[in-house]
Amino acid sequence: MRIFFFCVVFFCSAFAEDLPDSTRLFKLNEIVVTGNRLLTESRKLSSSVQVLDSLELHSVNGSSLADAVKFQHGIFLSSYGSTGALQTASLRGLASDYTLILIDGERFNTFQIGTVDLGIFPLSNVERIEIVNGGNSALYGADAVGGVINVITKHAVTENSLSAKYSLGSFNFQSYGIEAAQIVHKIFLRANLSIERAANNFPFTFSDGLQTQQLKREGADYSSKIFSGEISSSVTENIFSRLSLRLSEADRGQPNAVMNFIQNNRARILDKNAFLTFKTDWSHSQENIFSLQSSYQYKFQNYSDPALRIGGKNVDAVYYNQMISLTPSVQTSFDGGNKLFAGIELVRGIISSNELYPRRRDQFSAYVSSQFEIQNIFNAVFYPAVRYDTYSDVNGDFCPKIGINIGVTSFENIRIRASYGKNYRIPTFNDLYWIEGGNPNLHAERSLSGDVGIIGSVDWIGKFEAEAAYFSIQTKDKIVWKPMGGTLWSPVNISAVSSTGIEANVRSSFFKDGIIIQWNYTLTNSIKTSADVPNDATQGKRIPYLPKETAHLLFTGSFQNVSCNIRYSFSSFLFTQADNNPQKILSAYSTIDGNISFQFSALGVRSTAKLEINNLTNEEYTFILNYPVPLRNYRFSIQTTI
Amino acid sequence: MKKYVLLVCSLILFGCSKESPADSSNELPANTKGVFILNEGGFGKVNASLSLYIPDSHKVYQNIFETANNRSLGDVANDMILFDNKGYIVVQNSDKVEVVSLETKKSLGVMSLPGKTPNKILIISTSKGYITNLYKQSVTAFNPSTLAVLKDSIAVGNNPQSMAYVNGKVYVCNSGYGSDNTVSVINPTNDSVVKAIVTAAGPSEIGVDKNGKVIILCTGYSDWSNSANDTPGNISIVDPAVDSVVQTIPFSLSQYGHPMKMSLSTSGDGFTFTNKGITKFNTTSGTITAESYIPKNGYTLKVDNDNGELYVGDAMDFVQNGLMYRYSKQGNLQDSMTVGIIPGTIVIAK
Repeated sequence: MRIFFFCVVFFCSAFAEDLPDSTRLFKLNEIVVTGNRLLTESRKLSSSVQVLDSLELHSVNGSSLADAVKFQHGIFLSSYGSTGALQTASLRGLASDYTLILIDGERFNTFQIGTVDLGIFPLSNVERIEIVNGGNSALYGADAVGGVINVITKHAVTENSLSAKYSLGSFNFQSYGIEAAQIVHKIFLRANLSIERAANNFPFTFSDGLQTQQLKREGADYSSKIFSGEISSSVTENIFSRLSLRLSEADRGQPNAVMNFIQNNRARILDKNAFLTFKTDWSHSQENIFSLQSSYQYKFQNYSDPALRIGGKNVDAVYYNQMISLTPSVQTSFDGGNKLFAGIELVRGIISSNELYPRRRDQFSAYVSSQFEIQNIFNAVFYPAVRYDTYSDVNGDFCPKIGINIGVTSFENIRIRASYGKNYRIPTFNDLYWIEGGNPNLHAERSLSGDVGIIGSVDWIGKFEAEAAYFSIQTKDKIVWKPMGGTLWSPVNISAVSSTGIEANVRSSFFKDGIIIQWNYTLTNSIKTSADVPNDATQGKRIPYLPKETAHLLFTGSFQNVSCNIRYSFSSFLFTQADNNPQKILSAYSTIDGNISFQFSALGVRSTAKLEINNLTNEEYTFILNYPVPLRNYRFSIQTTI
Repeated sequence: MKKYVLLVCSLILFGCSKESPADSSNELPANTKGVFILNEGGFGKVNASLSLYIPDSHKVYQNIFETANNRSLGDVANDMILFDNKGYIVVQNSDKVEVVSLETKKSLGVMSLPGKTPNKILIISTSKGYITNLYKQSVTAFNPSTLAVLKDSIAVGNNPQSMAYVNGKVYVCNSGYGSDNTVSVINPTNDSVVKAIVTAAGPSEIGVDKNGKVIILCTGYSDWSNSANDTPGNISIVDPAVDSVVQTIPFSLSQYGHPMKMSLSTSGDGFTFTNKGITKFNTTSGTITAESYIPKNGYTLKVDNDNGELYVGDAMDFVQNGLMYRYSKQGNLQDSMTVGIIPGTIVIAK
């Protein structure tokens, strides 16, 4: 194993000196949009924003959003299995339903359930991903408590192109993709179709305490189709409009936890999603830009299990979610680089299901985000923001946030930053309107979050960048489903959680980005602070299924037309019980993933071949008790572009 | 070697602490008598456990199956009975029945029932027993001595749960979680269903009283979307001579809600959880004798026929260790103790 590691390092470094000039900048100088809704250098923001650009998205193994974000600091990604299995992201020690997912700035979480399944969100049409660690309800409203993941889709077309991609891999994985981009009379057109499927019949070891056997996962097959299309155009010199449509379907087995040697998995889950967005920007002047964004989202989900009959009927739940939004906004620049972004948001969400009462939620929101810069001995940037949300069915909230970023003018390389704000998570439709026990009297969970950190960079031999932060998120009135007598369970605002921790990230690049080494570390203490029952034995205990520590080491080496990536991940053990029973844990684990890709051209056709290896060391581990994940597995892909 | 390399890499590269939780140990009791508490454990948590309470010493031994066998009992243990100095434990999500020695607490055998979701168990002889399969609308016949399956699937009603053996017949409650209203009668000589007795909705617990009558707790029907459609539960008394309901003890919805769980004494008294707490009834007189015998709710209850004491299991919030309370015959609290997660079955070994 070590020999392989050093061979790869040697191979990449030996050729790196000949690397042509890189166009990549310091990562911390990247212009991001998600931090405060204004285009800002990430190093000047008041808290951490991690960016995965197109180069980094190409460097990851796998093809889902989950595959892309799992190596970032502050994030813990949990998986129920292999490709296409439910995968969710927790930020800063909170559960995954405290993570807000955006597509091009538009909310993707439905009102029905707070969690977004990142395992069935393909990267095929993704240009970049911005991850904001920490609470951000002052900018994005409900559910932005642990953080925000903003998926920015491919936009501008610079040339006509046609590309095709084919992949195959372990456990009968296959995928096909085609993308076309065309410019016709200042109208930019892009279309992308991607199809994936996998049997996911991977081997794993199961022990019932008496015997240990090698089994193959059953009932975990997966297939998905996604189409995305876009038309954009400059209608006039100062008006730019964009219409995009995303259609997806995922059909997959939903296997149970493995409890014995014979699996009896017949449950399936079918997801269909349509996401239509329209945005137009009008540059009234250099200082003022008016925008109008609108979206419509339709989500259908069907969970069925013919092996489970209750009251003479098979379990067969269907959920129809619709959301429509209209968001006018204005961005204004003042003297000295000061900026202001203001907007209102009108949203209607509708749920229809055989498990929930049919309900509708109307949301009205207004927000202002601003950036004021003071330049003297110090360069200080202030980020006051405030947002007010009101809902037709539950109380909204008024969420202010203040952020600051300070550097010494004569020494801009090191900056100190801090932010503090109020956030909230809104009760889901499931919490409120579930037929068997939903509680319409719930109110929003309240949260206060803050962080303080340092960020710096130095250009010496190579480029070194580092950032570190201490964070704290205090959540109260947390919604927990409790037994109400008999077989009835109902949610109540009862619990409280404190999540504090440290994040650190160091990135170094040498030989003009020919070698990039990145290390990050997250220490999280997520503690249940409330006593929800008399003499509550879970008070003061860590939240189960969230590790105390995670760390990643990422290596990228590239020379001319060859590049390789190695990713090492570590997670400390996980408690599986709320009382932190030390005998009921999932062990700590370390994994290594890697890939090598080769680019070549012939007859005007550019091609890239890529070989991926996951879990190189065959580590046996799980994120969820008795939900195995694959051992070493491979994937090969080839992409050609005309 | 591989793990060693990874560990060293982790330490060098990250300096992460290798914090490990402290070990805890559980003592293994020599007692064969006492009150066994079967703790279901959390769904999907594989943490079902067995506790033993010794009333004389007020001592509780926790997690005795895992201590004796060095492995988990499994996921969601739903029922336990004593037979032939052995304990038969049904572990629903693990699709198995564990047989343990009451003396050593060690496993004497495992009967695997793949995909059956076994729920409740009944043994009628050294060569015949039955298990209800909760989501399969069936009952499996087995040999308790050899743990061999005798008849894989005897079709009954929806979501079958508790069973009783009376007058040479096996009675199976088809609860349907309130949507069924029948009790299947099985002839054990040929394992065929000979009758379906119509009861109130949701027959879920069953026993036999001192008069030889079959006593059935019916929870009634709950319509979660419209409580106006709810139907009340009752105690249905079946005469096994005619296999039909001959008397009922009604529980009005407005007063008692839906009754849950039941324990019968040999003196003719019965106990169930209602909105009033523990409600006491008498199967001979066919009346409720104490609306709120003990103003306490819980998840399971068991009467001790020797002294009339009542044991009540409280699952608390269903995620942490539960509690068990011991009440005197007069309803006074005698003792309380921590047991395992979701105490769901109490068995008294004399």
